[in-house]
Amino acid sequence: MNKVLNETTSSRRGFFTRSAVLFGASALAAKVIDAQSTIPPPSTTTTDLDLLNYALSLENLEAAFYNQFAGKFTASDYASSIYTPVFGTKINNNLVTYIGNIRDHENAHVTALKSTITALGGTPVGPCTYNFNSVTDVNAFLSTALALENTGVMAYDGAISMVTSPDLKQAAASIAAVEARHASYLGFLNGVLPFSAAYDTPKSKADVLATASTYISSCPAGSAGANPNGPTIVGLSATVNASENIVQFDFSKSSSSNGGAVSFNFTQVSGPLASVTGVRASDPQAILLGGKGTYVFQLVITDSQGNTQTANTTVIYK
Amino acid sequence: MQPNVLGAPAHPKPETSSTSYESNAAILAGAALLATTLSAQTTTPPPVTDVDILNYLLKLERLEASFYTEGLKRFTPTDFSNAAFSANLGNPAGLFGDSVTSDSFVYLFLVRDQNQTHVQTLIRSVNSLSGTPSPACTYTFNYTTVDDFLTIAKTIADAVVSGYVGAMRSISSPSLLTAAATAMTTEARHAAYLHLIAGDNPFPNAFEPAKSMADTLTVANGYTTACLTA
Repeated sequence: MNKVLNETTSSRRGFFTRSAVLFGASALAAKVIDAQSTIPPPSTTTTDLDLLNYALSLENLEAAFYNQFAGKFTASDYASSIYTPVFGTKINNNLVTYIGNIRDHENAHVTALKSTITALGGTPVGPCTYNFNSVTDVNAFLSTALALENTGVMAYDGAISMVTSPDLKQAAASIAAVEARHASYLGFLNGVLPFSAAYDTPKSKADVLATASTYISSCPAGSAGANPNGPTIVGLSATVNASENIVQFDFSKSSSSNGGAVSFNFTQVSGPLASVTGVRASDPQAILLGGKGTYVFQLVITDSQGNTQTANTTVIYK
Repeated sequence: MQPNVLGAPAHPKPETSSTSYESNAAILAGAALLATTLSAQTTTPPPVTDVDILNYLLKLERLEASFYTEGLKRFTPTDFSNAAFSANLGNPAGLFGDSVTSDSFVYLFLVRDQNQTHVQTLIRSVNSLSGTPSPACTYTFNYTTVDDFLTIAKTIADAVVSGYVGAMRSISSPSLLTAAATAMTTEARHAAYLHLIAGDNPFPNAFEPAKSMADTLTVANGYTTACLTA
C-alpha cells in the first residue's frame, strides 16, 4: 500500500514541481511505452476465465473494504478528516452518499463478474478474510480507499491486453473507467492530483497481488482466493476433527500452475500451544497439538517462482 | 482511413449497434452473457483496423485538446473564482494556503496538457503503422462563462470516455489495447473531476456506458466547423 501511495500521491503543494515535469515532458510517450514493456507477455495459459477471477479477487477485496467502512463514517467524521475542511458544503454534504455509491458499484462489479464466470462455466473465487486493521480513522479510510482504487485501475489497465473476447474487453473497460472515476474523486479528497499523468500505469498481476495481499489474512481452503497465479492447495480441510495429538496432512496433490515444486509452511493462528515445525523431519506436513481444544493454523504454500497461496484450517481436538 | 471534411465517420460502424453497446453492462450482469459471448464469437469481426480506431481516438483527442487550449486562453483565475461552480469548492483560505478553486484553474491546464499528450502519441502511433493521422479541425464551442465552459467540458469528457470504452473491443494489438486503456482511465479521471467541481455525481454509473463510433462522432461533429484535408 505504501508503494502505491508513494507512486500516486502528490500533494497540492508539490503540484508545481510535478506539473513542471509533466509540462516539459515531450518524452512522456516514451515513458508510456516503457511502462507497457514492464507488463510480462501474456501467458498462453491465461484464459478469459482466469482474468475474470483475477478481477473478481480484486473486486471482492474492494467490496469487503467498503462494506466494512462505508456505513461507519458519518458526515461529522468526514468533517474531522485532515482534508475536507477545505471543501465547500456541497462536496462535504455529498461525501456519505458518494462513498455509498462507490460501495454499491464495487458490489455490482462483484455480482456481475460472478455471474459472468458462472455463465462461462467457471467457478468464481470466493472472498478471503481481509485485514483492514490499519484503517483506524477516516483519514486512513480515505487513503486506503485511494490506494485500492488506484490498484484497481492499474490492474485492469495491465490485464486488458490479455482478454480475448471483445465483449469482455468492453466490459473490463467499462469497469476500469468507473474505478478511475472513483480514484479521481478519492485523489481529490486526499488532497492529491486526481490525474497525475496523461496515461495511467498498467501493472502486472504479480505487482497488483502483492499490494492486495497487504489486506488479506487468509483465503478459504480450496479456493484460488487471494492469488489466482498461486499454487493450488489440495489436501487441507477447512475443519479437522483430531482424535490424537498429531494431525497429518497430505498435500502431495497440491500443484503449481507452472508445474514446479511447492513447499509448505504452517503457522499457528490461535488455540492452545502446538508445534508446527520439527515434528518429524520426514513429515513437515504434521502438526503436534498440545492440550485439547480448538486450534486455527494458517498454511502458506509457495511455488518455485515465489507465488504463494494461503489457507486456514481449524483443528478441533476432543 | 480517408481524412475528410467535417470529421464524418469514414469507417464502417462496428457490428454491434449503439443500443446493445449501451446495454452491455447490463448484459454483463445478467446470465444472458454466455449467449452474447458465444454469438459474438461467431459473428464476423468488425471491419475496422487499428489505424481506423487510432484515428477515431485522435479525432476525439484533438477536439478535447482544442477545447481546453482555446478556453484556457479566454479565462483568468479570477473568472474561475467568480464562477457559480466555485461555490462547490470551498473557501479560498484552505488548509494548503491555496484554494480548491484556484487549483481547479491549474488542474484544467493539466487536463489540457494530458489531452495534448494523447494527441501527440496518437499521431506518432498512426504514423508508425503507416497510416495518415486524421487531420486537425476547427471547432465552435458556444460558451461565454466558465460555468458554460464546464458544462461543455463534462459533455465532451463523458462522450470521449464512452467512445474509448466502445472502441476497446475493436482493437487487436495488445500494446495498443494497453495504451488505449491507460488513456481511457485518465479520461475517466478528468470526467469525474469535472463533474465533481460542477457539483454533480462524479460516477453516476457502476459500469461506464459504451458508445459506438457513430454516436461518439455525432457528439464530436456537433462542435466541428471544418477539418483540413490531408
